[in-house]
Amino acid sequence: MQKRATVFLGCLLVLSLLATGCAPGGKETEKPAPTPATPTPQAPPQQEKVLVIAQSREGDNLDHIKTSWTTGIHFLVFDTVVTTDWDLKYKPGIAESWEVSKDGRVWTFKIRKGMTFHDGTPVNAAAVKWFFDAVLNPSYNSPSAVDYEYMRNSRVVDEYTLEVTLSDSFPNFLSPLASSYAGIISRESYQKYGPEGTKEYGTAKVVGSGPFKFVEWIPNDRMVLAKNPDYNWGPDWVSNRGPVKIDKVVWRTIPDSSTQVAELESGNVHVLLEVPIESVERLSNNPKVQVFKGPHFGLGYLAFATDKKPFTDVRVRKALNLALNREEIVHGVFRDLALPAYGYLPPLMPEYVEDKAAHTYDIEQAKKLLAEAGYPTGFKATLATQNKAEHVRLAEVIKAQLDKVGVKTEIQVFDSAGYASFLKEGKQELFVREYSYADANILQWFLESGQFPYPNHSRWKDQATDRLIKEAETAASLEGRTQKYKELQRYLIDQAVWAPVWVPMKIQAVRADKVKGWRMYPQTIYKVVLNDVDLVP
Amino acid sequence: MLETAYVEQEFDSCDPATPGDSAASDLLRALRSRKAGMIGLSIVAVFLVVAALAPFLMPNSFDEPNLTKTLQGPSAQYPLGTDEIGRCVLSRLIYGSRISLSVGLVAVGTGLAIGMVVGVASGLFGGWVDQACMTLVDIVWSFPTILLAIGLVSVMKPGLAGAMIALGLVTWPSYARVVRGQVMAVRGLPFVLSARASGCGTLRLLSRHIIPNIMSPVLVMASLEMGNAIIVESTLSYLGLGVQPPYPSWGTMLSTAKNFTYDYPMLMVYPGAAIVVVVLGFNLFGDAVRDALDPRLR
Repeated sequence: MQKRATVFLGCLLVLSLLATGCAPGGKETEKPAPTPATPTPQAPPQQEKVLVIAQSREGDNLDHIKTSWTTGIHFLVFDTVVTTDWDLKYKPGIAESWEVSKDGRVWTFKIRKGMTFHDGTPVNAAAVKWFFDAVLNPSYNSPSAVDYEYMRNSRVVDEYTLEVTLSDSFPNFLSPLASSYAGIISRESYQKYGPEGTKEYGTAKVVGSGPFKFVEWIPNDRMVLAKNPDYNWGPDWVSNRGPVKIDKVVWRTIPDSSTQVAELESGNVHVLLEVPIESVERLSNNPKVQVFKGPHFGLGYLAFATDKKPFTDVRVRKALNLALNREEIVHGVFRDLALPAYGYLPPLMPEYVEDKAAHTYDIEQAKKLLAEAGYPTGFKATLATQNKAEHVRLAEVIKAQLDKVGVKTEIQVFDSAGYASFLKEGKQELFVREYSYADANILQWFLESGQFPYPNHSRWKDQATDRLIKEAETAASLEGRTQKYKELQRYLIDQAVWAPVWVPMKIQAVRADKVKGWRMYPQTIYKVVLNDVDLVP
Repeated sequence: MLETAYVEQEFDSCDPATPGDSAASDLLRALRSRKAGMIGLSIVAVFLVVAALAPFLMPNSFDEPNLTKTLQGPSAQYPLGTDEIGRCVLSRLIYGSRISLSVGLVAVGTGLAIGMVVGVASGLFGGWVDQACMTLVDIVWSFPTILLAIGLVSVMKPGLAGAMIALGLVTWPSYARVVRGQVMAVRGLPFVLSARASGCGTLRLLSRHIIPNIMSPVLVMASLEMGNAIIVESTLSYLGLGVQPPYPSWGTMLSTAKNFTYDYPMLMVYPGAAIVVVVLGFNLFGDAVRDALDPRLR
């Protein structure tokens, strides 16, 4: 009796499987239509080309006036006044040319003609001026306002000429203008949907003039962008300056990195912008996948609360620098997908200064310095880190390495929000940090006393540092600025303010069987350039 | 039918228990005659011994990375291979048994103790006591378990002890519910009424008559909850609220190994298997204990 029931149930299962397989709307209809041998103008429209990119997190808002959150969306929906090419050189964007006055205070931008926002309004000098004013408008309380702190006023000279006056010479002025926070938003749309309107801007509406239009955002699932057919103002450093070749971009939010890898392998995702290092080898062996690797504009370091004993003593900070075996860390923790760090900036930057001797493993010298500082047997400290797998792994290795000079650490792990508040409250002693940024002013962000206590989490309040930063940022020329930043770094190395540990690598994985024309942009994780990218079925 | 099952117990209702008749000897007798129970007991015993003697059994240090030998397969030096920073997996597994078993035992013990007290009070006294207890249960239950545990650990000092207690503090309502239902079911039965009529005090009534009759589902629940507690601990640890690296627990080993699922699946298999075996051990043992204690099954 029981046996018969089992057989019956088995049949039922098979039947139901068959039924779903044959149901209309199943796989059958999704098959791409066979392409005719000789394409005719009357050929039916081709299947929509949808590029799927995975992202591990999404912010709570896409309004970059009001939040400091960056996503790939910002680089695709908006145009910026200037752009940076593949070598990070400044190139025309909305401004086709610009001039600087002799004293470095007045910048005149010639705006390109014929550009329109996605809502149809023109991109002109007034539109750009409105955006600058909005960022500086105190009522919006914009986090980007610090980028424009040198901006005194901007003036519309004629429809396509904008003149910006700065309070001082500020040779790095183009850098904030090219950032993801500087995409020019349509004034009309912002007034209609923004904080003074329906308050939909940033979640249901995002309006710029870039190669893609914002379609929708389903929180914790996907963000969808569609091709802007009117776009013909691509920068001169891409081949296809007209409308993009793909129809849609879907940014899928997949927080778990191993799920992202599995989705790429099964073909549901075309691009991973951050590949977990433990998956690189396997993806490289997959013939359908191409892995792109390159040095990244970032730095990982061990930081100290420099206002707490024993880290107030420069000899202790130097000893900790010498106690770390960076080569071993890069090999063992990062599987050679990183570089040992010998300075405070990423090596690709023109301002970069390195000092190998100060950052090379020398346990005897480290012990000697500790003894000189009055800690011949070492000391105890806490070692905090965010719960990112690599950082925890690194903290465990740092703990073992510091053990050898007598520095006994106790690891504390935090989630990202918990880590931020922990650092804000100033409870840290030793802690692991990583930044991803392509401008020397990152040192200003982290180490100027005005930034105390956060983001100056190293609690470094030092007049010489402040003076050097000020001199660099207000130098008469970019070369002058570079020289001052070099001087600053030599000073920081001498003071051993941080222990730089590793320079991360930027690693992307792309379905090479589907995606053509992909090129990895060197800067920031989420920046993608899709003008030349195409999809094959 | 049902009533006669309880009758046996009733005859010696208020006699002082003879030493040979104690729960412990019942238990041993029951276990001896049940193979599964013996297996369960042996598994639990082996793990407890391993945990107790961990420092002497580990072939290597559990926290000494060897960056030249990461993610290696089994070798003479590392019997189960090495993890992502070259630490001995076997040593971490052995040391982890200490942490995971204490987490399981303390969390379940705390939860069970609170749940029993609340459940028994609720079921036995009824009325406003019942109402108050059940309101409390509902309140605690209305929070997602993990969220409440996170909140509790954050209030207490983050760390292993806090995590263990917090896990107990969030799981007791399920025991309380079950215990209450069982107590209510037996409290009106003739053997309880007659014990009460023959002058049995409340405590004796509970210990000799009610509790032995309600333990079956509770013990099964508790043995299953062990595994749950071991896993939830890893969630708390991931948020920095439980055991901190480099100290290993099976749960944290499992969650770290997740990153290597495809390429080094064995890293996941070892701690996973340890959890499965321990939970199985407790489960078999729990079943046998239940059989030994449950008058209905004797």
